[in-house]
Amino acid sequence: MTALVVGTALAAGGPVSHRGFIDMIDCAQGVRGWALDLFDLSRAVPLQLMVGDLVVAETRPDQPRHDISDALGEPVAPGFVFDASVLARATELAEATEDTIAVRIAGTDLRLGISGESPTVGDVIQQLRRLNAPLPNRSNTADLELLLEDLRADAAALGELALRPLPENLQGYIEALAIDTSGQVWMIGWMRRGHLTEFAAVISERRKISSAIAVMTYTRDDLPADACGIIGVIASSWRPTSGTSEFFVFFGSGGRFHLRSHAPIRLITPSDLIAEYEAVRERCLGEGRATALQRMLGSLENWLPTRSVGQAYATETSIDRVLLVPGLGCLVEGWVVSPMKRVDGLRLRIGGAAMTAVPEAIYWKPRPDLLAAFPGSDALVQRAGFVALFAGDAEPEDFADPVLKVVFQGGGAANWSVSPKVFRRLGHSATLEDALLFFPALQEESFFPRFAEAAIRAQRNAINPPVPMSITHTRRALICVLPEDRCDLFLVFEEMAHHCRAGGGIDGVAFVASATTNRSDAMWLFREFQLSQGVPCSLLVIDDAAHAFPLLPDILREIGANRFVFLGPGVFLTEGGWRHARQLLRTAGPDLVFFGLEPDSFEQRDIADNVSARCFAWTTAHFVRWSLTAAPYLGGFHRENGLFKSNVAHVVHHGAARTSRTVLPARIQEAVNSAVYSSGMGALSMGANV
Amino acid sequence: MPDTMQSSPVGPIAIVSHTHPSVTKGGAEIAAYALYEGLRRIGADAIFIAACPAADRHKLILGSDREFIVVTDPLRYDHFYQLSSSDVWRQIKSILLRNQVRLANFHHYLNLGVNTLRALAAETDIPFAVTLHEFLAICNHHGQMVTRPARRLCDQATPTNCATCFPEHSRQQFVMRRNLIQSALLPAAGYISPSHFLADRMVAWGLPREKFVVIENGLRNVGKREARNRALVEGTPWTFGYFGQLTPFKGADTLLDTIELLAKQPDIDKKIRIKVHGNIVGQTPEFVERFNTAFARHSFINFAGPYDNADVRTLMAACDYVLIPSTWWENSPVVIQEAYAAGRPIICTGIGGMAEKVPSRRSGLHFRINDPADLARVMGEAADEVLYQALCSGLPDVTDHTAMARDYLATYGRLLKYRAEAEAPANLTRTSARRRGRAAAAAQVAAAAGE
Repeated sequence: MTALVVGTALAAGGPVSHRGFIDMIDCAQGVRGWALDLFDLSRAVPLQLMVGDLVVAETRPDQPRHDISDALGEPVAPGFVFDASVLARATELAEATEDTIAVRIAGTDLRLGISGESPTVGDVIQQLRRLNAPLPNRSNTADLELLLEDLRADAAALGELALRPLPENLQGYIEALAIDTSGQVWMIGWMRRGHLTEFAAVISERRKISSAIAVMTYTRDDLPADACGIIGVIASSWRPTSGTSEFFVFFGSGGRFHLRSHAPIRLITPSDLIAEYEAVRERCLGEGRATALQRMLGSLENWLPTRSVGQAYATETSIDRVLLVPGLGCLVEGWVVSPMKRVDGLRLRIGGAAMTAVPEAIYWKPRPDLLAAFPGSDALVQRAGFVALFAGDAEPEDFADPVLKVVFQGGGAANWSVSPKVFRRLGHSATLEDALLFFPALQEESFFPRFAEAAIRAQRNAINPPVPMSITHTRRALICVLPEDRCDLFLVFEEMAHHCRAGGGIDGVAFVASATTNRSDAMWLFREFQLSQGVPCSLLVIDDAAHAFPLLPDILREIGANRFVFLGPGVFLTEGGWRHARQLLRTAGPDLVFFGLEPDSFEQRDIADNVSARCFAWTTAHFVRWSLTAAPYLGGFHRENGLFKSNVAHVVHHGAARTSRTVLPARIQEAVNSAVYSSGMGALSMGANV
Repeated sequence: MPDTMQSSPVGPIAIVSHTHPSVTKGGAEIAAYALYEGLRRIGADAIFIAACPAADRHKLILGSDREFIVVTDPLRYDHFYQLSSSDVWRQIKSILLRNQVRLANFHHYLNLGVNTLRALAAETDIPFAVTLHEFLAICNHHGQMVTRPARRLCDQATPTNCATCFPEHSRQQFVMRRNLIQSALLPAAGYISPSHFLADRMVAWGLPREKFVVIENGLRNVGKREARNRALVEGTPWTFGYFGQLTPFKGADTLLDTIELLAKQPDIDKKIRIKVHGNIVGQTPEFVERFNTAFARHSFINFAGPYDNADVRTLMAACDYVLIPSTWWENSPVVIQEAYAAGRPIICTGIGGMAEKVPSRRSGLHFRINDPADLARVMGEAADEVLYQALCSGLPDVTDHTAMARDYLATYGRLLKYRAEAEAPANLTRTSARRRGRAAAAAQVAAAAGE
């Protein structure tokens, strides 16, 4: 039956008395609109949320709408909301991504109108992915500067108001100020929690001056739980002077809140500011623009390289190798010989990022190879070598002019340029195993969870989308990742041809090849398969077979499948597996089904029923939704990649076999994956890449 | 077999070989071609289909327009799973359909691919039989069931043992290989083996015994057997001849070691002669050097080099015994039939097909595998006139290729008859019968895999 769209004209008459409209369908705000019965304005018309022809939720309007009330001349409550979570759930229940979202008056064929075309399930899924994508990089100082400019402009209106420092609105104190060489004013103090970390403000010291504040927060033991320490910038034309005794910073809606300065205010140098920051750096909470502020602080130091010749300290140092881990910092191995001054700390600057050697992640080693260069310095040489983690937010895109700063006890420091040749980058020119060269027991280090996160992020960033070589759309597909082994490559195509000939249930096949030496064989085997079998088939190429699982949403989108069976590299269905695969592709059902692998390898020992993400069947909608919060494991697979944990699943016992000999992953890879698996590090969404 | 069999309406029959004997001279292709010629000789309608790499087409010599070539690309073949390009099946299918073949007899799937057998079963109604010449279905080591690298005899293939011989492949790959080849062979209407030994091995591996028939390979020219009149050559040393390629599997090392042992005996050159006919294949440089040195040093041995198959009878006639010191099981080496045709008893390793075809102390003598001292002992024992005459009188008759063809033809007839009976009643469509056959084959593979 054809759906009748309910009109919005609020005049009685016509074949139906219902009126209504969908104002928005939004992943964050849900489905909102209004509906009423002109003949009975007090009756809340029952409404149904539809996905295609499927009713997924019901509600009744109960929200007042002043615009409708004004139009009718009497108060009515025709507004309705289907929550955002309901909309997300609707995508799970959809059978096809082309199904449209609509609202219907229950018990009728009347559908509410909407501006433009009704969105489809696919549109909503795309919105969800964007919504769950990681936040954009907030470490950029230029971005912070622009924000401060905007906030300062907003503060002009605040300055027009009468601002009074009422005691009950006091939110904290500014304890110290510093002015850097560029004239930027920095502040140290404390503030009650719950406020934004960047806000428009007005400085009041005999006159009101528009400003913008950006702070980093950190925990302080001397403060109650509802307060935190702050270090940040005051962007304005105001400058404290030696005559500054007391001032206020008003902020919040209507200038309601204020910070008060100590009287007199403590003016400190940029070096002291940095020292105070260093003392609390580890406790800084990474909210807002904290990273950008840290970079700004880093730029305050003097990083010009100094030469040892002419230096009274006669200090020498060199860096042997550096492993840059974006999102964590740098693992550094080098040596420093300082005959006169004890070394108190090490710092490393790369581009705009200044990093400090983490005290709990530094150790010293003897360097007997330096004896020839430093005769008579046996004691020094015994502890000349160092390995350290320099924590910070060094980005490869910002790689420039690396400098090592050796800080001496009692003050003073010396800077050395570091050759770019000693740098390697994790996930690009260095592997996890290279990290073990620095810290052999890496997984026991306190920073390992952050390292694991960075390693996963590095892999995610290295994954390129699949290249479609030949695409034929199919609603139900076997997704087969081609193996590296040439023999098995032949077997895959033969088994697929054999079972396609057997008929029934195999509606489409997608082969996923990796861009390796077997690519050519894959291409001619695919072409022969395509010519000889009457089954819609596709071929896509990816960089690495290990990327196939995280790229599965892209692959499914390319071929247009809404149900699939996934076969990882080197996985073959048994005869029983084939029977179930055909059945699963044919019949409806949202359940996740694993094909239990024959117990022939170490990695299945710990998993019940030999369940693995290497072979499973599901609907595209469910899988894509799950993938929004799933992490890409190193090597592509780890146990069942978390599929089993969050979903009810069935298992086809002895449904598949894996021909590739189990290569136990490197211990460090296993440790990273286990950390991700245990912590549910799902914020590293795969969806961000596509 | 009565001559009326030659007019039996079984045909056209396709004899399918992995190569043409004008290109290579292996036993399987020679036997296949001999069968084809035998069938034609007895009036059966037969065609011969052979695979040939594109690069070797210039070597082909086709005997008639009933011989067809399937051009292959060796680069598009996998030797582990024995899988070919689907283009091979397309060519074979075209030949079979164009010639309205009623039954195809594959003498190998090497170069043709087991996928060709699967496609034949799935896409056509043409029944097929498989003649087995070695254990390639069971053993990835050239089908010889000899371990690597130690080269010990293997009695039973298991995925674990096979993965030990071939560590470059996983255990599960051998499971898949077994399942794949079984699924290709099980739909066959029947299997022909030249020896009971090979048939028993294949049955133990998983093929149904009731489908097996043992038919000896026949020679194209049997001729009249001529006994060696030792009286005419009295006083001359006993002559032992070796015929064949000097590969590691043919016991060339054992032969060389035996020569070294015999050389230590006084006046050996007055007692024994050893003639080696063939060429050295697949041997190390060390072996070649050792071989050349031995033949240069010892006068009682003679290296005659390669020979033409047409001359083998004459060459054997110049010997008293034929030596077969193979270190693998063998199936039914053609050299045994040729030795019998030449009227010569055999000294062979007492294992496998050799032991079956050469009953000990009846038509020959056995020695222990890889034991040069035992071979030397047996050769010494063989150098006895009384024993020699007894062995010569125990030589069995040799099948010629027409007799072999008659046996095969009878077998084809039975297979087609059984097939026709299996397809009744009339309301059973061919398609569903084919599917039931495939399902049964799949179930057998699954059952075998579960063992």
